[in-house]
Amino acid sequence: MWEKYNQARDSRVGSRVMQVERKVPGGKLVQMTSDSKGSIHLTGDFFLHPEDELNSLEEFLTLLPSDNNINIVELIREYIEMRNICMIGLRPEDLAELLFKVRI
Amino acid sequence: MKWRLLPFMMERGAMNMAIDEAIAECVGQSTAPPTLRLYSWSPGAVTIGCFQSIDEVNIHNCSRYGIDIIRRRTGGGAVYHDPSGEITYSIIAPEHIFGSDILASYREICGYVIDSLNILGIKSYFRPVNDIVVRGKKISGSAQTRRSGVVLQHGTILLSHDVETMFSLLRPTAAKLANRSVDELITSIDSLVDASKEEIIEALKEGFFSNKQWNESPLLPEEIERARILIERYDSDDWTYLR
Repeated sequence: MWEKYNQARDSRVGSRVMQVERKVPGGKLVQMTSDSKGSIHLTGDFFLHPEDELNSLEEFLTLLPSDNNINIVELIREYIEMRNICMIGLRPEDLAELLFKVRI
Repeated sequence: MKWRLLPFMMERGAMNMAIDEAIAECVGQSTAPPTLRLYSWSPGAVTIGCFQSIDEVNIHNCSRYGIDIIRRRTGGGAVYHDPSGEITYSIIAPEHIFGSDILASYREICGYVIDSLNILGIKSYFRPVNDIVVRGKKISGSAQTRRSGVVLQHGTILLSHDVETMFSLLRPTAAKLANRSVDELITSIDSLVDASKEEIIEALKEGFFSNKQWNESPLLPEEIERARILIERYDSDDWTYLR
């Protein structure tokens, strides 16, 4: 058990570059981590349907450019619509804000 | 459509989650009817939402006190399932019964719990997304998933709450607590009315099945068989320590 825990922790925390969190309207807590490779990971007590879409959303967020001239909120909104993702306790605006902070 | 009530059962955490999933699969294949399940946990267990970090759990204390740790397939937060301090419900039904609006279905299903609490003399209300509160304090939380055209919502109804044990097993972040004590955030049936567990179960049956046809029948052999396979995931460290 502890070996697995340490492996999981190393993969998330040991290589962690930055983690930010936000309590979103409705009280859900969302944490965003950027690891040493710049990959984005989301954790928290939010709801996202279908649940299996989280990994692809994380990959999408990872690939979003850091460019102030691009409307990140709109890109995230388009992505979740295209993938038929339903987020509860989490908005595109929250993800965009977390992404901005985690990349500072 | 006739609903099924399963006999009350007490299982370990991994089996509880495997049974929910097995029922959902069979409902999706139309081999099982829409189902209400009322159950509890032995030994006690901590469940975490499928997106939560394992850091939400005090693993050392869970190990020390023999408390299981299980990652659910539903989102939401970490819960301590005290064997004598709560009743868990699962509602598993084809999606067309509750419609495609997820928030509306939370409201509808939580409405049955509110009706049940009302039968016991407790006035409660729904607090979106997934809570039921009494005078601003949470008495019931729930989480829902939808797969293959089936809604699975499970939730807890607190009969009593042991703040000290809960806090020794869970690690809620400061942001989650927002500078409030747990006593300010949650309440339980025992602090509101004098009701036995049997009376509470009867109230839940009445609240859920009002204006519905139902009968009590056990798990199907195929559900039991499938649960015995699905339990492997819930028992695996790869799944539990996924995040």
